[in-house]
Formats: sequence, C-alpha cells, structure tokens
Amino acid sequence: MKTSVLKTAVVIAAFSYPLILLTPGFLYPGLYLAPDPITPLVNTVVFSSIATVMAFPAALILAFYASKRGLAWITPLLTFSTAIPHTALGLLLLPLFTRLGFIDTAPAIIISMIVVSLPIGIGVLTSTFSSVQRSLDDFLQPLGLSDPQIIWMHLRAIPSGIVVSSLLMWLRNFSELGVFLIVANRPQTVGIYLFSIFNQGGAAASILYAILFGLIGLAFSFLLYLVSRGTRVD
Amino acid sequence: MLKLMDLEVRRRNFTVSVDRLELDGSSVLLGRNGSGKSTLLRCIAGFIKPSKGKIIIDGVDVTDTPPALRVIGYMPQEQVKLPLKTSKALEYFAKKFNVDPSTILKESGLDYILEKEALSVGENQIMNVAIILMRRPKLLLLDEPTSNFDFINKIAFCRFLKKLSIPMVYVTHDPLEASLIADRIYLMENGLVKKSCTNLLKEKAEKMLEEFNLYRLLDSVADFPFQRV
Repeated sequence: MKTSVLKTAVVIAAFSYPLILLTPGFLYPGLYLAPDPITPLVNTVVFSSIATVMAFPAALILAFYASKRGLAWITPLLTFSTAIPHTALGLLLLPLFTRLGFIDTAPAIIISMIVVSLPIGIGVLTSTFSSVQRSLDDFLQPLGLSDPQIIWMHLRAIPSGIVVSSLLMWLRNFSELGVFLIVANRPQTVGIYLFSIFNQGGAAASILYAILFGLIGLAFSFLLYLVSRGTRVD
Repeated sequence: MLKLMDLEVRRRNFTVSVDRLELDGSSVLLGRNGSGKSTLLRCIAGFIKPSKGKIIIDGVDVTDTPPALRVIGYMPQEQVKLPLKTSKALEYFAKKFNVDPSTILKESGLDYILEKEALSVGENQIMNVAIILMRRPKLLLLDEPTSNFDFINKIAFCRFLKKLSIPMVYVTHDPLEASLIADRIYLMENGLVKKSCTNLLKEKAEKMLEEFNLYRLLDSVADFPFQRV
C-alpha cells in the first residue's frame, strides 16, 4: 500500500515537472514571436552535428580504454569541465581562441561544443562499455584481435548505447550557452539568440521560444527513452 | 609444453605461488572456490602480470607478452556471447585467421550449427572453442567453462574437449569433470599446488556418467535401475 502511494506520487511529480516549467509561460502578458529564429536554429543543428561527429569517435576510444584497459584514472582528467560553470569554461578558452583568431567564428562554436560534449560522451560510453561482460574482452584478446577490432565487437554488443550516447552529446551541444556568451556570439546559436531577444525585447519576446525549445527537449527526451529502452547487453 | 617457474601472483590479501610446474596434455587444476586456480589461469593467459617468475609456452618465455601475442585460446568462466550471428561469427574469424571454417566445424562435429539461428549454452561454448581452434593456438586455457551448463550440455562439452588433440589447462572445482577430462590433475589449495596425480579414473568417470545419466536412463531403460510408475 505504501509503495503504491509513493508510486502515485512519483508519477504525479513526473508530470508536474514539465507542466510547471512549460505552462506558466503562457500566462505572461503580451507574448509575441521575435523574428528569424530559423537561422540560429539551423546554425545550432549544423554545428551540433559536426561537433558530435568529431567528438564521438574520440569519446568512444577514450571511454573504451578507461573502462576496459585499466585507464579509469584518466576519466577525471577528461570530465572535470562538467563541474565548472560554462562561462568559466569560455573564459578558459578565450585566450587560445583570441590567439587563433577564432572569436565569433564557426570553429570557436564547434571546438567549444566538442569541449562541452566530450565529457558527457566519455561518461555515458564508459558506463555503457562497463555493462558489457568482461568475458567478451577476455575471449577476444588472446585470439589476437587488435584493440580497434575489439572495440568494433563491443560496439556490436551495445548498439542502443551508442545511439543514446551520441544523442546525448548532440543535445548537450544543442543546449550550450555559457561558453558561447564568452567566445562566440556569432554565428548565432539558439542559446545566444534567446539571450539576445530577451535583452532586446524582454520576456514577452522570448518566452514562447523558450517553451518551444522546452517542447523540443521533451520530444528528444522521449526519443532517448525509447532508444535506451531497447538497450540490451548480452 | 607449459612451464611455470618460480611463479608468484599477488592479489589483494592473496598470493598464488608455483615453484615449478610442467604441464602437458590435458591438465586439470582442481580446487575449491578461492583456491587461486582462476588467478593462476588468468596469469598464464597474460591478463595478470606475475610479481615474479617465468611462464614458458612451447619453449618461448611469454611472461611479458600480452595475451594477444601468446598464441593461446582462453575460455573465461562467464559464458561468452559474441554479438554476431553464428554463421557471421564463424565467417568473421575464419577470414581473420585465413582458414576454412568447414574443416574446423567438421572436426568439431559442429557442421550442423551453421543452419541454427540460436544456439544452446553448450553449443555456444563449443562454437567458441571452434573459433579458438581456428587460430591454431599452442595452448587452450579453460576456466570452469561448464559452470552454468545442464548435465547433458556438460557431458557433450567434456566429450568434445576429449576429442581435441591440443594441450589444455582446464580449471574446475568438480572432481567428476576433472576425472573425465584430465590426463593429469593438480590439486590447488590456498594459492598453492598441493598435489598432483595421473588421472587413472578416466574410463571409470565415463562409466559413471552413463550410469548417472538419468535423462537417458529414464527415457530408454524400462526398469533398471528404476521401476516405472
């Protein structure tokens, strides 16, 4: 009985969370849609995709060695940036980008996205690799398979894990703002776009887009849920 | 074939020591849980570096050689399920080792599995041995490979191994399994090889298997040693 009350409370809480976030915005007076959200949206989708494609293989290899080859100690070195504000991360990248002439350029956005999504990818992929039985690796190594061949075998064992981790990396890239505030206000990405229309037109100009992005995020989260539900590790 | 010289493997609060051991044919490391037999096998396979001593396989010192270069086959305790369909897996490894899989499968009596989509645990383990054999290893290391098998699969697997003419080190805690497979049995206790003996029970073990194979007996024999209800 106690369990079922708790279970009901959990379900209510789960529904309340997006409702509390997404519905009060509609009550704000004088809402309107600011012009040209498409360009920043397309920019963000394109840059997020490029950064994910570039960061994913690196995350894959690093995570494999961290989880299967006794290099777990490298994980903190690669994931510490998740623990600091992203504006600070932007400030750390600023001197390098200034020197390279990358400020407010596409490379600045892509590199920043790689920096923020790599730790997420490594974290998720490390635990995904760890869920594959050790016996598979123990069996394959003495057969003389190279590490890339063993990684390929592991990937075949965790197809859903691969999709989930790459999707999470992409979403992390898509939602980035802090670093861009410091190093790349242009080309405009959705975070910067929302921030600038809020600065120019206030909440009335930006809330509807915030709700829209909230709904997009909800849709992606359900997609993630559906994909990860299919995760099966043999 | 396999020589262990002054070998010492240190684990947390546990040490496996072997003064001098020469293993050939089918050698079984028999011991209770925690006696150090799997640790010793993993060390021979190259997964654990010994703190001292030498491992010599086929006259070559492999102590510092990684598992991939030892030309051995290792069957872990946990069931290995390759993330490939049976035929694809065999095709993949046959291509890698440049062998004709049909010869190996025929030798292993496994030609029928190519048609099967799903394999039983026993068949899967036999297929894994067949894959190992494709590499033509110098030594086969098997760590309780039948631990989650039912009786029938266990018998099938042991009989399959007996047909192989490859030196092997087989780890088990089951004396019947040991007597069925071993040419020589090494008893392990507290990280040490306490005793060894030539296995004179092979035929007796085979007979015992027949005698206690209730599956077959109940299926075919009318009233001995059981009475029909």
